[in-house]
Amino acid sequence: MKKILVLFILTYGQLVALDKESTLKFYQHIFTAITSAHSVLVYVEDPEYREVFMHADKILLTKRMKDSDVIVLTSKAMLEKVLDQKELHPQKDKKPLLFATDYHILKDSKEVIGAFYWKKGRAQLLFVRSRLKAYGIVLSSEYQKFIIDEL
Amino acid sequence: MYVFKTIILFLWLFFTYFLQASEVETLLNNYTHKNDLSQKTIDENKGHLVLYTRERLEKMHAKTLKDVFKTAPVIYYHENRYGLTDPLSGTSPRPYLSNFIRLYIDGVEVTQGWMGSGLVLYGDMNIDFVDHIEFYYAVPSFESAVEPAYLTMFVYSKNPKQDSGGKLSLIAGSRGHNGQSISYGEEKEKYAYMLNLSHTDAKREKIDNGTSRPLSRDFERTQLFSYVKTENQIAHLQVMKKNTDSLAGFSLDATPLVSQIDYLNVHMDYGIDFNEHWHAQIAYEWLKTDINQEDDFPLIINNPLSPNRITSITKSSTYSAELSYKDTIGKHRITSGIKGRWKSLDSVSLDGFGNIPISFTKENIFSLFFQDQYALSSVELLTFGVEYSKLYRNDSINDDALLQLRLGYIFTSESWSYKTYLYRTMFALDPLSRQINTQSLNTVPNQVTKAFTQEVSYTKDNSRTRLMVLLMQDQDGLVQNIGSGKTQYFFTIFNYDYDFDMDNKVNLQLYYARYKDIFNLDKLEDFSGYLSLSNSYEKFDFYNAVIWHQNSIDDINYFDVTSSISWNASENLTFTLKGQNLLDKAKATGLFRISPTTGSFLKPLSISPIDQRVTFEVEYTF
Repeated sequence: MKKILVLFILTYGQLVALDKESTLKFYQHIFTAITSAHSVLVYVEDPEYREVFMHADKILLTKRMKDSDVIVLTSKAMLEKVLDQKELHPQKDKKPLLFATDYHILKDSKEVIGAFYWKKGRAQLLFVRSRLKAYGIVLSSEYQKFIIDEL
Repeated sequence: MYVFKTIILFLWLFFTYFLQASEVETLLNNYTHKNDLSQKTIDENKGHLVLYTRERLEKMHAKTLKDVFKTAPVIYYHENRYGLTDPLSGTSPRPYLSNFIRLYIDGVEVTQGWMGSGLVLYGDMNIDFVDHIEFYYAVPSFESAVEPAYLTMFVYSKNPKQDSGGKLSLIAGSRGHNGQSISYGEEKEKYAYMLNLSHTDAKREKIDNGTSRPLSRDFERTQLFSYVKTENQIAHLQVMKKNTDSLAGFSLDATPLVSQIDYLNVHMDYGIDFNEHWHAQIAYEWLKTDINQEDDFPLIINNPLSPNRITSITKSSTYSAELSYKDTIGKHRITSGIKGRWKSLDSVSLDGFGNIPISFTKENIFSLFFQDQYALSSVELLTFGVEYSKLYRNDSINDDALLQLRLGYIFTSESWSYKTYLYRTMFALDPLSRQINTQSLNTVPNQVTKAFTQEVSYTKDNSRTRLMVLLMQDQDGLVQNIGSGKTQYFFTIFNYDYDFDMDNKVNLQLYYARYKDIFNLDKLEDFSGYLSLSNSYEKFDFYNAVIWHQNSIDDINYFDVTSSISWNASENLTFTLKGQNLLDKAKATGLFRISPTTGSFLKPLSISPIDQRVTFEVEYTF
């Protein structure tokens, strides 16, 4: 029955926003790279992302921001909320890291280290060198072409 | 031989070096591909699809629906004697014949009420607000279609979740052609909205008609597209004002003294999902047409006061409503619903007469549909759909009853896909055609189209191959030969897409069709091809494409060559230089002319709807 439901979903035009397998693989690759951890604690409020990350083996979802290694920002409202909390509770070790799914969020706050977003129908990955440096993050050579000096 | 081997070795080294992707690049590529497709509203069960993804539209630098439509097979982009999008008009002087091509924006049909399909005005609309476009042959689903179709075009707008922020686009081109467009979209906590306002001052090629007044089809268009949506509701507002030079217009011999038609169109709709099963939708359309035509001789449409001149204002409105239910019961996925459409010719005001009395002013359509998808196995689906529509017209004009049937089988595996459908579709003559030709006010037989279609595709790694074969027959066809009972045709489409990598892609499309008894021809053979290459290197994007057409009417080869180069100067700023119809050999058709003095046919004017044009564009995102 499960397979049949999948068939309906594939053929019936459901608006599936995120492909689970490819999304998970990609985010796991990024998050393990920026945290240098085998499994990463992630806080995200967007239900679509929560649904996808729920199935990850290297991503563990947290219920509180302060428990996470990475916060995924999916809207400007979320960014404001996180920045407010950071001001109230400044973290000495600078965690959690902020990662966005929107270019404008990356541009709006220097606290955000990178973003994975859509531009002209293509997925784009971008890190800002100075921000990575501020958090002491050194990425491997395969990421170098996705790092820019400044926005 | 040595040189040959060296070249091979060099090419191998070149490709292995430049096309070698890191793990993160491979994952990125895979993510783009999978999510780009899953973002689509693609319904493979809908039928035979030609898809233009967002990435493809961006690579093509498509600014209007016409830029996309001209590359689609089977039904080509074409404009009628009024300079309006009208692919099925051929050489007919009738105002509009493409009522069987239906256009949907975000799943809601855009119509022009009395004039029929929304394609008439929206066929060359600005598509800066568009995310992706789907072309389906025949009616893809009774869920959305109120009226039957040969070709159904679904245009889907951008989603602020992926496209937040704004975009400003400025275009300048040949002959003073210019356009401006600004968009803004944002996702808030409880709702999202998007707004696009564009203005186009289209300066088009003039057509020499042998007089000192060449035919003009310039237009100035201001277009607004907007929506606001929540999790379960969406409302659209679209406004288009289009002032046009209407080419030959009402002039029999295509030598008008004045030929202008201005349009003002408003579209509003609202849709709501009550729950996972029930959906309701309402839409309203209003169109004002301002006609100003003058000739030395009597016009095609006669004005009793002044046969050589007509100035009129026509207003029409359309209301649509639907309620649908869907559910999954065991292996069945069922959808059922009711739909209604109320078309009204509100008023016709003739210069010198004021509002004139019109007796035929209403056409109402009521439909009932049922669809079922039955999962034969985890890779096979059987689909069945039936729709019954009743058309009511006032002024004692005959009502019509239309029955549509669709039966399909789909097989999908990881690499292979096979689809086959049987269609029976019925079409009724549109109200405007009835009104213009008073004989059509009497009984006009409904066209019955029967089709048997098949499609097989194979996808492996970076390539996709597809073959589509469609056999069709029109009984009592509305565009068939006079006196002939039926039109039979067969067409086949072959597609091959190959991605060298994320930045380098090639698309090939070949099309062949054979018609019997159509457009007053005994036999018509039609060929076309489309080859496109899109490449990116560093901060530059390149797009090169050629569209080829040939048919047995004149055996002339037509080529429309398009090239563009974009420089992505920064994350926010892009400059693009684009040339379309660079060889000035794009497909042209004959505009038939009749001598008003002798009644004999004059030499047709050869006109291409595709202008030769070079444009420079600046895009700024914020």
